[in-house]
Amino acid sequence: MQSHDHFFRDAADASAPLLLWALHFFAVYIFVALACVSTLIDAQLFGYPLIKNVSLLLSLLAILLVAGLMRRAIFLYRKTSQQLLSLARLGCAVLGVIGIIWSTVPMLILESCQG
Amino acid sequence: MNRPASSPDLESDPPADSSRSYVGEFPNSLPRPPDELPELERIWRTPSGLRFLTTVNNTNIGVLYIGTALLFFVLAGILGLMIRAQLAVPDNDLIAAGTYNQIFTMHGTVMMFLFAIPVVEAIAVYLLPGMLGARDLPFPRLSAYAYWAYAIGGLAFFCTLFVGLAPDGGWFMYPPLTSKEYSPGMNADFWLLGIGFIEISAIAGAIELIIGILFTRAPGMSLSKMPIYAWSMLVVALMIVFAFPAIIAGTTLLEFERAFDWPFFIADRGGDPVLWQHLFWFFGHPEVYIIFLPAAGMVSTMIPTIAQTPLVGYRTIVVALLAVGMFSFALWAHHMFTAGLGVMELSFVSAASMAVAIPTAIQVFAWIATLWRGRVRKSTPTYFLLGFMFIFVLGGLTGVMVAVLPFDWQVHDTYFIVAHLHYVLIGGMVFPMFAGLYYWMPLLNGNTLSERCGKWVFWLMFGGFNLAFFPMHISGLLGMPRRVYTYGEEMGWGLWNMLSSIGSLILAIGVALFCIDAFRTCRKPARKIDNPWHASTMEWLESDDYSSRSIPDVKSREPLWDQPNLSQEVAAGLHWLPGAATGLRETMMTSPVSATPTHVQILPTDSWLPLLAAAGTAGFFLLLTVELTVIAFICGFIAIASVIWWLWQVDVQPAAASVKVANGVWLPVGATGAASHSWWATIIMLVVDLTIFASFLFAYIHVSMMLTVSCPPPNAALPSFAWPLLSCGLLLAGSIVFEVMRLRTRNQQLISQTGLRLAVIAAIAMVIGAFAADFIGHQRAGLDPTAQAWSATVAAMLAYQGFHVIVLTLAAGYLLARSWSGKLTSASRGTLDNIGLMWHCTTLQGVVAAFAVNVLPLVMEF
Repeated sequence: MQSHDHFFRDAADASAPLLLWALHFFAVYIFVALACVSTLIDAQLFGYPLIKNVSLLLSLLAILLVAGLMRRAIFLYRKTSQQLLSLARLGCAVLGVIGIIWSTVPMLILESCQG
Repeated sequence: MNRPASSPDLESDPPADSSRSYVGEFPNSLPRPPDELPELERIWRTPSGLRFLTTVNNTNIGVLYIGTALLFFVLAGILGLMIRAQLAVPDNDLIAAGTYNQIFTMHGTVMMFLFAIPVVEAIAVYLLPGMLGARDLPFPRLSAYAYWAYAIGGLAFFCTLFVGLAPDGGWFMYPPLTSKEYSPGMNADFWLLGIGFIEISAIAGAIELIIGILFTRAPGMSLSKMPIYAWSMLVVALMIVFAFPAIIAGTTLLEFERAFDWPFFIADRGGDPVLWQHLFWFFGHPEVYIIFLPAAGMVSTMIPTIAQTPLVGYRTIVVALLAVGMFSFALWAHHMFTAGLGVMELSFVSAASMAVAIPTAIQVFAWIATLWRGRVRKSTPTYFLLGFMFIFVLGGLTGVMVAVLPFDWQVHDTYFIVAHLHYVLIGGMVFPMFAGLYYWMPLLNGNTLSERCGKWVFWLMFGGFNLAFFPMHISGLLGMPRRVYTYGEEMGWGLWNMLSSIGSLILAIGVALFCIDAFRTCRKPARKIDNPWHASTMEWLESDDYSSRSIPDVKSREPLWDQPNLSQEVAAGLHWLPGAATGLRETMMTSPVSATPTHVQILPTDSWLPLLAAAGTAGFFLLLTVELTVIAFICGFIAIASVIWWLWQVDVQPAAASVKVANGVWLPVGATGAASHSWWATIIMLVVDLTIFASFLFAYIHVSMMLTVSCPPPNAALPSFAWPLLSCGLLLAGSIVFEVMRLRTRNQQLISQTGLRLAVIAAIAMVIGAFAADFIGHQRAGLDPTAQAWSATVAAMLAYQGFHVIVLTLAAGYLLARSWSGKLTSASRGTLDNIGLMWHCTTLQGVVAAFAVNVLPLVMEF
């Protein structure tokens, strides 16, 4: 029998928002950790602290991307709502959006290099 | 492996219509040949007497595994009781401080590493073959090896307690307390090497589970029909693949520091104790979910049965499992809130800690909704499941509390944390496990545990647990620190500690009562397994050593509810592969998404080799620890020889190209390349390997970031640029030669065996040359790993590459031996394909390491 499975494609499709969350999380974590012990600590961008601005820009980019993934997930869910993949795609998108927004909140309310 | 002279289902060439679906209502028809079932029984029969030790069947290994894990649970529980006896009253001198340190370290270590992780894998290897409808999982000898390595190593490790050599630095073994300076004895070494067995065992188990779940499901059991327990184990096995490498790297570095004075964690010499915390907790936090998710999977399996209704939100729970698996990797630093990391970084982790509550809550609400929708039968598993929900939710709530930074700063390292972690782990894992033991016990010999006794067990455990651990919240808030062996009366903690000690005793009585009932039930005469709970999953099909008589054709998520005659049909041989088509142990392999049959895989038979290999591995590590070097290396040689002998027996050309598995359906026997299960297992192993390497790389970058003057530091230097360039060139050339040879071997006409051998010899010569160039370059640059941490991290990566070169040299020799013995052909080339993957992985690591060591310092600013 021939199989026409695309397991990795489907798995990546469904979990893309969570992968994006992971990418965003580790990117901002590593960036802040590295930048706070480098000469970037006092650098400015458009008159504001560079570290905070870059982190927020990364977050904005991640939010835009995950919003795009969510829009696509909603569109595909409406077409094939009974499929596991459809709901997995949508569910991961919702959790991805929440995860990225929550990770962004500390950037809005805290100084970048405290502690 | 014994191969019969002939078999009615064996044919060299399949009929022309082999690719279509089966003919008729069922895959096979009646009557079945009279000798089919006796032949199946003969092939799969479990050996008796002493030869039982050779069994590799996952169902048998699962029973041994569960039994051993429960033994460790009891042993670690006794240690817990000793802790509580010591802390029952103020100023107690029942146990000396040093002994107390060993006891609490061993209690945590044994519970986490020798009970919790092994038992979840044990239950999985026991349940999954039946639940998935497989004859067995695809690497039974690997499972047997994993079990024996764990059992022998674990028992030897536990025995260190009786000679005063048990580790005493806490279950997370933080340096500098565990460095040679402050822990000069062998105690810490036993921990570091003892944990090695669990790492090997867990990763071997993860490979078995991932491949088994993705490729051995019964035909028709697509991912959307897969039991939720299998989903949870798939996520957990993937988590093991990414989480365990961090602790492997961490333990290796700490052992190198202790054995060779490479100062990775010594601050005075450029190291950083916090590096250990990062590596430990990058494993340690996902580990909590590695323990919890299988339990959640069991809960999601049992609740529909006790409520007699399908699980509410099956697809949402799948999403929740995936999300918990992902989010859990961002939580490592919430164990390090007081370690001095930046507030912003900690806040990211704090946010992720709260985010993980959402998918966890989704599961809890789905369980409540399922219970609400169904008609709940009050039985002992029900009691334990309800107890689990109560306790786990409380543990989850205190988890959200300690995810809040200011609160955590107040309660860190106090008994509040001890209470929280026990509520999470005992509530989240031990109670579901007990529910599972009551629920699945009939699979063992058809007998159920006593319901009356079970209620006693539950109430003793539930009441005892809450009495033991709830007061710890209060003693923690009153300021009682963890790991103190006694306290003064004036502290005011006496009442709460006395309550905890009484509670722990009641809890222990409950466990003891369960053990007595379990022992009694196991001794009862075996009865027919008759699905006493009216469950919907396929492990309840009538089964024997070969699992079910024929492999079920699955049509729904609840096959035993939606296909009411399935059990009889399967037992009669109406479904797939009703006999032993190849005359050997075999199972059907299916595609990972739709579970469409792809081929029949021959499985290895019972053998002493896994036991020998495991004993050799355990002997090597343990004897090396006590510096019996010669005997240790003899053990290591036995282990390697056993593994090579074992591998020699696989990847052989099958006697028949295809076999009949159903009316009108013929499947090929075995597969090569990306269709082969061993190819995917190698990929997973290499992911583990690359993640270990990434951990070493992280250590190198972390230590480099701590340099204040220059990189490399003043008393170190980079090799001349020609050496790494030469090394990378040789590595790439070796990979190219190997790959060209591998591709040409697909078509036997394109390369002779002589050409193949010459290519292997040339490729390995290049790899050895590459390592030599690297080594000489560093030697000429004066690399001294004992000088400071930066040099030590460079040397660690170099040593890891050296380890790969040794493995590749052995692999090249093995390839040559197979070529000379005629076992390397286009039809049996799995070994070649898999070694090819290892080859390229070594090249990748070598190039990345060379880039990191030689280029990173150029871009660093000071």
